[in-house]
Amino acid sequence: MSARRVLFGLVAIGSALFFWRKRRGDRERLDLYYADGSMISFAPDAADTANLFSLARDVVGAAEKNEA
Amino acid sequence: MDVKSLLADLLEVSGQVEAAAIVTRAGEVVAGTDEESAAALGTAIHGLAGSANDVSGPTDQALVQLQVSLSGSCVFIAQDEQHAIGCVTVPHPTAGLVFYDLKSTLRRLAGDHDDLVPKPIEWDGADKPDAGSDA
Repeated sequence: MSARRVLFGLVAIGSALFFWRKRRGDRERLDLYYADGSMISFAPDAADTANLFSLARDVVGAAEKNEA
Repeated sequence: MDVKSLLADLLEVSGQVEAAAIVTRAGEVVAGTDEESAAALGTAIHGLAGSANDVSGPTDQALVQLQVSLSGSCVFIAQDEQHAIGCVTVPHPTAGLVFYDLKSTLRRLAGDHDDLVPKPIEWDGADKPDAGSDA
């Protein structure tokens, strides 16, 4: 196998990892941290916390008015 | 130090924070980074913190901080017995640093000093007592 093919493979794997991490980082989520150090993470479709994402958007909306 | 100075310091120290507000646990808006919209931002932060406090946790411990990652920005809240401070940041912030800055602001608001920051000491003008004693 030529060095060129190895290099091509490494670049392809690196690109795939980059875009996978980028997509993963863009996911919306809610993290709650408690006094004993425990933490729970929720996705936007979680039944208990769906309204919290809406309230967080309200915070962002108020902050955007802040900047305007 | 007044509350506005605390928020000004927060914005200066943390470049990732775009806007912030401090509210009491009862919902009274104490201050915001922008006076005109401080009430709206503080009310929204109090609403989010209040609803998050109602979420049942893994233990009976109190909620101390939260992060909501949205597509274009993040919302952080830290709270103690008296106050809650919330902020909106740029996307993909360094969460640990933002939480540290929020909690430092809360501690300073409560009158405590940050243990990691060296405290000023009084100097009466004399040399240190140990200086040159070994020579």
